[in-house]
Amino acid sequence: MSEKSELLVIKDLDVRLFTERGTLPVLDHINLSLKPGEILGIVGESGCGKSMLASAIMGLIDAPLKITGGEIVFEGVNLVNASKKTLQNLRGSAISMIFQEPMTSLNPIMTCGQQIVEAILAHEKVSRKEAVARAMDMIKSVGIPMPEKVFRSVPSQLSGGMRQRIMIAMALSLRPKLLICDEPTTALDVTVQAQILYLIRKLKKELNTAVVFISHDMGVISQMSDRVAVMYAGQVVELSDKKDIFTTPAHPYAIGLQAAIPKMDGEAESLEAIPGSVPMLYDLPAGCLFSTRCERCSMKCKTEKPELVDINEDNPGHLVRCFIPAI
Amino acid sequence: MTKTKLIQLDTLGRNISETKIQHSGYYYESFRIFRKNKVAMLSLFVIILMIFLAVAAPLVTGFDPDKQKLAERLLSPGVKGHIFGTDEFGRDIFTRCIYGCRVSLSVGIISQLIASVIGYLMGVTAGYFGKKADDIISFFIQVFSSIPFLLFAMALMYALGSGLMNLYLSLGLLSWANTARLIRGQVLTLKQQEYIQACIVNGGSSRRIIFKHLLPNCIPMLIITNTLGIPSAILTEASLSFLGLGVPSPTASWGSMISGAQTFIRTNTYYSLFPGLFIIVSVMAFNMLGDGLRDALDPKLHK
Amino acid sequence: MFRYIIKRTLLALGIIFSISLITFLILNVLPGDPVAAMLGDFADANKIKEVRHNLGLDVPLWQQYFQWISNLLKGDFGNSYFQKKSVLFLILQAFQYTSFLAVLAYVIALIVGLSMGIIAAVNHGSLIDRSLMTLSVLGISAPSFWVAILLQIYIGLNFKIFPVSGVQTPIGYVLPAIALGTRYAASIARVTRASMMEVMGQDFIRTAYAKGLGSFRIVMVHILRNALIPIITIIGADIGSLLTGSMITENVFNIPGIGKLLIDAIGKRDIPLVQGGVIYVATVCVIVYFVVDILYAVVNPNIRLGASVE
Repeated sequence: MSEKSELLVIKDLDVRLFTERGTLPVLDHINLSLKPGEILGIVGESGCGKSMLASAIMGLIDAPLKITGGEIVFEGVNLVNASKKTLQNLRGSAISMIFQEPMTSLNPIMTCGQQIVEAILAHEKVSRKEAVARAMDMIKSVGIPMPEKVFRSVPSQLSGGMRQRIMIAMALSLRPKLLICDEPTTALDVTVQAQILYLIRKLKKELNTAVVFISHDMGVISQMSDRVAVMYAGQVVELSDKKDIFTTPAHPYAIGLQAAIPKMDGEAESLEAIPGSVPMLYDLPAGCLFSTRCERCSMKCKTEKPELVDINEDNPGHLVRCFIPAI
Repeated sequence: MTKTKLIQLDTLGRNISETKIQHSGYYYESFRIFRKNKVAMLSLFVIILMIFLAVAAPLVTGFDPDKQKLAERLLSPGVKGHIFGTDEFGRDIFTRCIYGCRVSLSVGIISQLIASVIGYLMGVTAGYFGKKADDIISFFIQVFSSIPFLLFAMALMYALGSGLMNLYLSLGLLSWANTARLIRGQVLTLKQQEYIQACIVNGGSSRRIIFKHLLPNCIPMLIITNTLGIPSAILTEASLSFLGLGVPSPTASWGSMISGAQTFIRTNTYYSLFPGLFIIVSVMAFNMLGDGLRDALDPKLHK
Repeated sequence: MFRYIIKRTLLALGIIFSISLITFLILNVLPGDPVAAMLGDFADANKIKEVRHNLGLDVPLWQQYFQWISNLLKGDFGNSYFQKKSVLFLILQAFQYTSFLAVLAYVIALIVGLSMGIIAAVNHGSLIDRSLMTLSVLGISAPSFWVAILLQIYIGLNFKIFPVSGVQTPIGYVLPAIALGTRYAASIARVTRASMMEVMGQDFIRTAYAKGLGSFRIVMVHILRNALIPIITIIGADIGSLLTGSMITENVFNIPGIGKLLIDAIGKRDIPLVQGGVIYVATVCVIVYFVVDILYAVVNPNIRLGASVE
C-alpha cells in the first residue's frame, strides 16, 4: 500500500519526559498509520502511553514532556514541526478528540450550546445564527432528547452520558477527518457505554471519519476496531487486523490480555491475570520491556531489544515485537 | 468513608484547605518538609531575630528609646552614632525601631492566640454540637466576618482607651471568625470519621472528645491560621498607632513613629523609611512563614 | 434565584441589626464615662448631667438603644456635639470623598492586579512570574499609610503636578488612590494567579485547546471567566476593608472624607458622630457584601440555575 492513501502516518515517534531523575521514554519509536474511514484500536494497561499518543497527535504535548523525534504526518503535513497556527487550525476541525472524563471536560460555566457554537465559529466564517443552527443539528444527531433545553443547559445539569454526547457533538460538528477517542466510555455506566459506542460507530459511518479508539478494555476494542495496536510501556508490541489479534495473538502480552477477557461460552473458567505490573519508566529492563513479566522470557530477551517485525510472510500486516512470538 | 474537601482561599490567594489525620511522625514529617523550604526557614530566622531584638533591646542599643534630647533632634542617619538618625525629640530612631518590635510582635502574637482560643471554642461548639448551637454560632461568624476590621478596632480602642492590653483584646476579639469557620468545617469532617464516631457511640464525654480527640487534629490548622493572622494584626496595630489609637506615647511603635515622621517628609525623608521597613519585613516574614507552615502541615503533601 | 435573594436579604438585615447592637455596646457599655471624657477633666457635675440628658444617656440602656435604632430607621442620626450639624449630613458629605477615593483605588487595583495575575499565571514558573509575585508580597506587606508617605516624598515632592495634600483638583486623588490601591492590587494579583493556575489544570481547558481555539480566547474566556468566580468573593471582602482603609489614606493626604471625620470625632470624643459614622460605614460594607454575593450567583450559572453542584 502506498503512503499516499494513508490519512495519518506516525513514523518513529519519540516522546520524552524530562525529570530530575533524567529523561524518560514515554513513547518509544511508535509507527502507526491510518486510512480514511478506518478505526484503529489502541489497547494497553494504564500508564502505557496510550493517552500520550493521543495528545501527541493533537499537538497538546507540553513541558515537561517533549516530542524528541519522529514524524506525525497528517494529510501530508508533518504535525511535529508545524506552526502553532497550523495546529490550531487543524485541531477541532480536521482532527478532533473525545476525552475520558465527560464530567470535567466541559466548561462548567458555559452552556453546552455555546461550547459547540464556539468550536464552529473558531474554524468557519459563518454567522452566529448559522453556527447556532448547526450546533442544534449536531445536538439532535447525537440523540439527545429535548435538544433546545440541553442547548441552554450548563454541564452540571446533565448526566455523564449526556455530557459525553455533547462532547461527541462538539467533536464532530466540523466533520473531522480524524476523531481521537481517549477512553470515551470508561467513566460511564455499562448501558450508557453501549449507547455511546453505537453512536460513535453510526456517526463514523455517516461522516466517513477515521477513528483512533483508545481503551484498556479488550472487549470494547474488539467491538470497535478494524485494526488493533497493543501498547506496552510506551511501545507498540503488536499491530494487526482485528481478526488476527483476537484469533491468533502472537505477543505474550497480547495473549495475556486476551486471556483476561471474560468469555460467555466457557463454564465459570477462572480469568487469568498477567502477573506483575508495568515497569516504572525510570526502571526499564535492559532488554525486552515485557521480559520482567513474560513466562517465555529467554536470555536474549533480557539483554537485547526486539524490533517490531512482520511474523507472517504469506499474509503481511501482522507485526509483533517479540523474539519468540507464538505462531 | 466520605472525604469532604473544603477549599478556602484567603486574601493572598492561599488555599487554606482542610488539614487532618495524623499518624505517628506527622510533625516530624512536617518538620522535614518545612526544613527544605528555604524561604520559610529564612522567615523563621528573621522572626527569631526580631523576637531576640525585642527581648534584648537594652543590650542591642545603648540609647534610651524615650528620653528626649532636643539638642540632637532630627539628625541624619549616621550622625553621632545614630545609625538611623534621630526624631523630632532627639530620640534614636534605630533604638525606637528595635523597641517597636516589642509592641508589634506581642500584639501580633497575643491577639492571635486570643483569637485562636475563641475561634476554636466557637468552631468546635458549632461543628460538634450542631443544630441550634451551630445556627447561632454560624450567624455570629457571619456577623464578625462582615464587621469592617479596622473600623471596629478603632471603635474598641476609642471605647477602651489606648494601651497594649486593650490592643491585644480588641484585635483578638475581632479576628476569631475565620478560625472558627475553618475549625467548624474541619470538625464536621472529623465527626464523620470512624474513631470519633466510635467515641460518641461508646458514650465518651463531649469534653473529652473535644479536647482529647478533636483538638489534636485541629492543631495544625490552628497553627496555620494563627500564623497567617499575625501579619494583619501587626498591620492593624501599626494603623491604629498611626492614627493615635494604639499604644500611648511615648512608647515606641512603628505606626506612631511614621505618624511623627509625616511632618518632616520634606526635610528628613529617612525618618519615615525605617519604621516602614520594619513593618514590611515583619509582615512578610510572618506571611511566608505561614505559607511554609501550611505547605508543611498539609497531610495531602506528605508522601 | 428568587429564594436565594430573599434568604440573603434576611441574613444581611440580621447582620446589620447585630452590628448596630455591637456598635452600641462598644460605645456605650464599656467602662469609662464618655461624657466626662468628652467634656474634659474640669467639667462640673451639673454640666455633665445636662449633657447626659441632652444626649439621652440618663435613661436605661435598652431604652437608649431602641431610641437610637428607631431614630436611625427614621434617618435621624442625631447632631454632632461640636459641629452643631446633623450627623447624617456630615457623613453624607464626607462619604462622597471616601467613596470616590475607594472606587478609584479599587478600579486601579483591579486593572493592575488582574493584569499582573494573568501575566504571572500565563508565564508561570518564569522570571516574570517570580518577579511579579515578589512584588505582590511586598505590596501586601506594606502598610498603606507608609506607601502614601513614600509617594508623597518620591513623587509628590518631585513632580509638582501631584499635590501631596487636599483634593481641590481631581488630580489630587491620584496619589491617595495609588497608596490605597497597592495592597488590593497585590492581593488581587495573587488570587488571580492562584485561581487561574487551578483552572488551567482542568480537563475542560484541554478540551478548549482540542477544539482549536486561540490561546487568547482560551485565557480570556475559558480560564479567566472560571477563575473570576473566586476572585469576585474577595472583591466583596476587599471593599469593606477598602472603605476603612481609605480612612487612613485620607488622614495622610488631608482629604475631608469619612475617615478624617471619624478620626477628628474620636479625637474630640464627639459620641453621636462616632456612633453614626461607625454604623453608617458598617452598613455600607454589609450592603456591598450582599450585592457581591448576588453578583456571585449571577456569574456562576451553577448557583443561578439551581443545578446540582457535585
